[in-house]
Amino acid sequence: MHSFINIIGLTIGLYASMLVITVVIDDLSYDIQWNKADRLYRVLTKFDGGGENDKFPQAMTALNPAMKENFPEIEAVSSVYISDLELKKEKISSETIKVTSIETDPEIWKLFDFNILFGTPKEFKEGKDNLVISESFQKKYFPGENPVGKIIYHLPPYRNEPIEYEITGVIKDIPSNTHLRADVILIKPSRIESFDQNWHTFSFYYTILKPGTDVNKLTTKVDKWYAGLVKEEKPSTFEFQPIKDVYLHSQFADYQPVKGDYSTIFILSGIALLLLIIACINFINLTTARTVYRMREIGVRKILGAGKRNVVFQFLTESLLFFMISTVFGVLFYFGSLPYIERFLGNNLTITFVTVKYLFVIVFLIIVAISLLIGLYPAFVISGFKPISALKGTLGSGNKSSGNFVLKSLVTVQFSISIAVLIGLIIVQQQVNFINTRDIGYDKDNLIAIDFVSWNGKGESFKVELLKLPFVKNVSITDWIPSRGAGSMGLNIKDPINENKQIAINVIQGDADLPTTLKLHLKKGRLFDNSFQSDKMSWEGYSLNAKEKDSAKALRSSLVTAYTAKILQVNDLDIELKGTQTSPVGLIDNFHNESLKNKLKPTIIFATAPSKYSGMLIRVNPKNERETLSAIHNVWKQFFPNRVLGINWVNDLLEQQYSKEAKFRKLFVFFSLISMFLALLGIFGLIEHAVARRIKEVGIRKVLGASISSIIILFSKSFLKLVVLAVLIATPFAWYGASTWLQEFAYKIDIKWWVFAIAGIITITIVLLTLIFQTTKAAIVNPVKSLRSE
Amino acid sequence: MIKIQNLKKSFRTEEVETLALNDVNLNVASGEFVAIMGPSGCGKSTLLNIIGMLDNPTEGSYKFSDHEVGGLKERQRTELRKGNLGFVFQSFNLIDELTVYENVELPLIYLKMNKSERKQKVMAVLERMKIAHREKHFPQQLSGGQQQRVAISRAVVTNPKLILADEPTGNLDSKNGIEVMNLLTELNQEGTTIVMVTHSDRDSHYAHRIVNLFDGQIVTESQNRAMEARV
Repeated sequence: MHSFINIIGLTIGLYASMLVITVVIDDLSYDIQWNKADRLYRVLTKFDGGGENDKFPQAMTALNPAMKENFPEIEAVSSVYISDLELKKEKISSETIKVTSIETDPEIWKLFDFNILFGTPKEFKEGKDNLVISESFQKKYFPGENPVGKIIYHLPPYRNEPIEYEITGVIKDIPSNTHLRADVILIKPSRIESFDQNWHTFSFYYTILKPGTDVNKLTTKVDKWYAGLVKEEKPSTFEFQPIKDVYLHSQFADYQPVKGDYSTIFILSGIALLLLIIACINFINLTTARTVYRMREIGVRKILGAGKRNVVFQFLTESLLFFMISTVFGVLFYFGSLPYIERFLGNNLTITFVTVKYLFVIVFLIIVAISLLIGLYPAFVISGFKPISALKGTLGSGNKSSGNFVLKSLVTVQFSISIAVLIGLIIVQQQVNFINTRDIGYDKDNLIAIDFVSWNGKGESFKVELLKLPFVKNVSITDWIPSRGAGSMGLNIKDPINENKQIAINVIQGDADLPTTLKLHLKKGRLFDNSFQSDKMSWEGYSLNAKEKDSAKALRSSLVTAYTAKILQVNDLDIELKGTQTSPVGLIDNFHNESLKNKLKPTIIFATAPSKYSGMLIRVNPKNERETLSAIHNVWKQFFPNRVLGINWVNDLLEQQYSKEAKFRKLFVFFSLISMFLALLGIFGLIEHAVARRIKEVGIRKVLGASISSIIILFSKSFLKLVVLAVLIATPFAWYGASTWLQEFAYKIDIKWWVFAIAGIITITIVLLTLIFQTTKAAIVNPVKSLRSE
Repeated sequence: MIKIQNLKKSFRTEEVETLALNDVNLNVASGEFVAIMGPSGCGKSTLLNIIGMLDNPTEGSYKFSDHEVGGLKERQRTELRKGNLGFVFQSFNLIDELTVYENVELPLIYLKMNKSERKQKVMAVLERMKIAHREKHFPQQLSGGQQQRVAISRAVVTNPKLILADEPTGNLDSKNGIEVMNLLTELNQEGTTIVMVTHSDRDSHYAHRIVNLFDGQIVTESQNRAMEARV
């Protein structure tokens, strides 16, 4: 039983911590594999908008030639944009190949070292855009043939005719531990733009700096140069973000699908460490506790001439053996569960203890070191016994022996860890519930979104046709759909309180049916209405910078949220809101147009005639989901027979926003359950030993008139004291950890005191049940039996 | 005080059923000092355990102060035992984690006596057993004789009607052994009934009556001349 508990505990502990460490190492390995990783930077732009979200991972497209011309430190600049494409092998085909692509320019080869297998992709072939495909793409779609020179087709949603790409090369698969995770590289000629004082387009820029460049100096230089170039009140500044930091140290979830974060790594490493500590404590406790049974054996050995050294050696060997057996099992489980972990994470793990041999050796050596270190304590405790008292079995029962103290401290540590983890678990669960049930200001159920497409003038007739379907309630052609950014565009408006400050505002544009389709809550005024001319005016040719307003035209209508009204001091409706060239016709409740990770920002909805290129929202009656979608599909086919319909339930889209959190929560739940189980296993074993050691005492007490319940209370008292102490120790740590984690959320729960109480009560209950189970066994034994052992 | 009639006790293991006590009849009057003797495995300890209500007989009747004990449940036996019976063991059976004082106090706690009363009783009995100066020591720190005095203190602190002693001098040298026997005799003279299991002829001479047990049956009973002479 003892060996069983020990091996199970160690196996699970080693297995789980190896798994967690693998995930952590993989996360830390992002983008270090590029040959010139030290010199690669992503260009960030910083605006002084007065808000929090003033930094984003793009820069003005016009910077491209300008930067290289003006700064000799910059070796090359390349625009790199990750997007999802649907490719077709035939021009007319409904079969599409979904891939993730790096959309870039020929300069890319100066920055990143992709391994070329076939073709000469570095030479840009004029005429068509070049496509470089990965080895697995080639194997799957061009098995046994050389695809170089072949044409592949792509029909983007904004076009009618497919674009042709020429395959110019095959590269080895791009490793998954890069934020530029992709299946293909799409190379287009560099876009050349010149600076416009009023208007910028933006690109994702990566640069490679010459060796020895001081990034800080360069940044200052670039900022100065830019300030001199444009005549802006507050010119933007730049930041060169090292490529190694991109994965873990970026706050731009909207722009970067492959993104990790530091707190996850921190928490996971912590869990790995705790799992290991719990497993080791189990081992020490169980082994030391069992010395009671082994004293006789050691006594005999010593009398037969074994020295202290021999005994220590014997116990170290035993400890090593336990660890080795557990390592073998642990590694087997680890190996077996890697595919599941990869499927769970959604990407391959590049670095594991299996693929990287030297890591395995390191892990093995660490385990050996731990096993020896852990084996030392029980070895010395046992070898220190005097042979005579060991034989008599009288040792280790003194009241305040130091051994007892060590055991008690270790158990307390273990309880503390379990309780802290339990508290963490409860708080994570509460936060997730909080986010899931929070009213986001619009009705996300029974709402369908169609991805952006160019309507070819058929948008409105498509909408009319959809409205004929019996289950369709509202349809809106809109430039914003939930989860796809905060709005259609951003606006900076002067702060009515502080003239020098600008307030960044999200603008959502949609047709007059958008507010009703979203089911926004009206507080004051009216929602949009098609009968008002001002609610369906086209924005074509409109410029926010236009100095002279067309006075003949009425102002366009807009809706402001309560928060926006407060910030911009909108008190009266139907008068112009400065800086927007609209007049608010209604005041609506706040709604979360971004994920709840972001704080509410001022948001205005502009009414507009349906755009040529936009998305669509459809409000339906609850009905069979599949039927609903297929009915919409049928209508789509009539209008756009060649087009792929990008359609999603808004609920699903919103859930995807939190998929990282959901994964993290699952991981956390899994590992914390393991740690709880381990701790319990240890405590179970320990109580068993405590009871076994005191079985005689139980007998004596029963002879003297003790009842069964008083015996259970006797044992429970000493363990419960430790649990209470553990609750006190765990509370500050758990509180600190949980509040750190919660900081990531703009909307979070308050940590309630009773969470700690509940965690304590749960632990106490579990320990009590174990205690009652074990001590009852001892308490009902007839004292005649337990006293006969002499 | 003790009336035992046709008492049988059998132990069942997987293969065999062994009869530890076979048709035992024994009466012990209040104030008597009875020694039970016999070779190892004759059933002495089993008989003592049944008298001490630690075990139930398989068959027959055992009346303790006119209460039938035979069919009682464990809880009821515990209740009847508390305060009425005191035990003295060969191996003392003190609790190592508790001090001398705490060991002696234990039976009073189970009698739910209040603290000051307990203190008074414990100190009185420790004084009497001449072990009061060791009240704060742990059993391991005492000699065998001292430990047995603590054990006897614990047995008598509740003023039991009956003391059951299982080879009380077995682990003691002769000087300490005699001292313990004198203590028991003293208690007996004050009115406590004593039933003692022993191997020792010397010890058996302290008893009024010697019951010889062999293979689970009482073979002889004899009044102790020497004792009578002493009395």
